Parts: sequence; C-alpha cells; structure tokens
Amino acid sequence: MRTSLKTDFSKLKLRTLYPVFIIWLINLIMIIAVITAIFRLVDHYTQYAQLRDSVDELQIKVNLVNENRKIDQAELDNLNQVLSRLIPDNEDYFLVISALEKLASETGFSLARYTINISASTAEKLSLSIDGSGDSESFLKLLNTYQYGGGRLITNESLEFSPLNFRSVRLSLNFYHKQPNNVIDVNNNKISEKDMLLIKSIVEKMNRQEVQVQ
Amino acid sequence: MKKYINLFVSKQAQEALSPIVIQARKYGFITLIALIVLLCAEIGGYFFLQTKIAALEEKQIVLASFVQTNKALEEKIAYFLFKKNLLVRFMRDDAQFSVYYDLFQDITSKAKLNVKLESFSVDKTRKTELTLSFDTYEEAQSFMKSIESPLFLDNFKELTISSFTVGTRKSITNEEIPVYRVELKGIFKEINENKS
Repeated sequence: MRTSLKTDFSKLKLRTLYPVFIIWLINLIMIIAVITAIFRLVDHYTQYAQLRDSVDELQIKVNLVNENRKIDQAELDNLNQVLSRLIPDNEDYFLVISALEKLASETGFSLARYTINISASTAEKLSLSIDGSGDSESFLKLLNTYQYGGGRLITNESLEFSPLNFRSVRLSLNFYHKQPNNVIDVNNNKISEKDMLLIKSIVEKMNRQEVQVQ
Repeated sequence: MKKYINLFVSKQAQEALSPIVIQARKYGFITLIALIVLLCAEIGGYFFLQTKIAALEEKQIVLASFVQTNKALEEKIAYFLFKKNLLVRFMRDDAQFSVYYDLFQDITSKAKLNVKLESFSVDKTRKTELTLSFDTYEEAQSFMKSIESPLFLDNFKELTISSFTVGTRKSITNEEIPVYRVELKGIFKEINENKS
C-alpha cells in the first residue's frame, strides 16, 4: 500500500513537471534561435552599413560632377596644370632651386646659401632660410614677385625691411607640396567663379612677371 | 492510523512542490512569449534590412555607372578643389609684405606726410612695427596728428606709438642735425576688410 502511494505521487510529480520541462526546453531552443538571429542581423547590418557608405561616397562624386557640369574642361585642365606647378604633389629640391634661381634672375636680387629650417618644415611645407643680397630696389621687386614668380607658391611668414640701411637680408621662405587625397569636402564641392578668378589672377601675375623679365 | 499518517506526509510533499512548479511554468511562459516577440522583431528587422540592401544595391549600380562614365571629369574637379583649398590655406602663411608696405606708402602719400621709413616689418598675423624719422619737429607733430585721421583708422586695427626720440644724424656737410624718430606698433586690417 505504501509503495503504491509513493508510485502515485511520483506519477503526479512527473505529470506536473512535464509541461514545465517542455516549456523550458522550447525556451532553450528559442534562446539559441534568438542568439543565432542576432548574429545574422548584425552581419546583415554590417553589410547594409558598408553598402550605405559606398553609396554615399558615390553620391558625393555624382553631386560633385553635377554641381560642376557647366565648367569648361579645357580651362579646368589649364588651371589644374597651374595648381600642380604651384603646389606639386611631391617635393623636388631641383624645382625649389630652379624656382629660387628664376626669382633671382627676374628681380636681380641675388639669392644664395639655402639652409633648410627643419623645425619650421612639416610634411607638406619645406621652409628654407636664404641669404640674399642686392639693393633695396631689387629687394622690393623680389617682395612683389616671390609668391608666384618662381612658378611655385612661396610664402614668407614675417619680414623686416630697412630701406635706408639695406645691404643684405636673411629670408625665410616656405615651399609647399601635397599629394591629393580622395576625400571630397561635401560642404565645398562647387568650383565657384571666384575660385576660377583666383587662379586666373595668379596666372596673370605669373605671365605679367615673365613678360616684364623678357 | 498508519494510512492517515502516510497520506498526510504525501500531501505535505505535494504542497511543497507546487509553488515551485507554478512559478517555473509561469516564468517559462513569460520567457517563451518574450523570446517569440524578440525573434519576430529580429525576423522583421532582417527583412527590413533586406529590402533596404536591395534598394541600395540598385542605387549603387546606377551611381557607379554614372561615376564610371564621368570619372575623368570627377577627378579633375576633385583635384582642382583639393589644390585650390590648399592654396588658400597656405596663402594665409604669407605676410603679404608688399601689399602692406605699399598700403603704408599710400597712406603717407595721401596724408601728404614727409616721412622717412627707416624700418618696416609685418608678419602673417598682420602685426607691424615701423620706425619713421622726420627732419623737423613740425613734420613729426603733423604725423602724430594724422595718426587719428580716418586714413590711418580705416587701415589699422590697432596702432600705438611705442616711442618718440630725438637723435642726431650727419648731414651732407658733415654737420650733426637733429632727427625725430617715431616707433609704431600695430595691426593692419586685412586688405579684404578694407575693401568691404
């Protein structure tokens, strides 16, 4: 009798536990399914994000072309040539020396002894200290022409000039170069008339200086 | 008597088990519903992304074809903008000496001042230091007065006289004659600011 009651109780226990066991078994399977789905979803989202970035990049290029479709391509080629001479992709010491010699011959101001300012030079800027000699008139001529006269963009960050006691001067001149990167500035993707005029005015200055020398 | 005791023990065991089972079943159901909802959301999200990806792939083909056709023009425009922006940025490194030197000469000539410029310096932030000399006290005084005129005020952001000294210099006949020297410090207005 005692054994029979115990068996009944065990059966009762099992009958009560079966549904619970089944529910949690299903839950376990569902958890595995949810985790697997999360991984799939993440993969899918990554694919979506990469595709979206690629489309955005293409859209920027399309906008760039559409915004500037009216530009005369031959003129753009010419201006690009000027720009590549003013700021070459890579630095070339021969070009630097040739620009300085051109400036010296154009102005009559002698430029000799070039020293590289390592502390002032950067990855895109070559800073040179140059000893120059000549009269104040030729020096003023140099100051009028140095920016583009050598066929390169040259800048001078500060200068002191004493016209009454002028003999020689030490100039610090910067030359620039930079390889183009493929990053397009979305806020500045239109070539304006002002941009074209800026480069054209530089070309005019360069031509005028060359004519004056001839 | 024995039978009663046994039944009582069994009932106690069953009653002790029941709340745990009930709780396990209750939370099992809740978890199952939550998991079903989560899985449904994931499946929904998957199909949503699938639609988006399909649309983007279609757009990518169209755009890529346009870009490929106009690749040469796109590269030229990008090159121009890149180098032009560099040019504008690098030009800010320049003191534009001749521009400000000519401007100062222009101011003194417009003000009809008899000024000898002994030294002139300017840097890329348009900070300037000038040393001027005058042969007579009247000329120096006339210059001092003109500093507050619109000619100077329109072209300088700041201008201060840092020193005024009387020295001597030798004339052609080797005589010592007085010279009035004024040192100025200031900041030029940007040349574009003047025009606007």
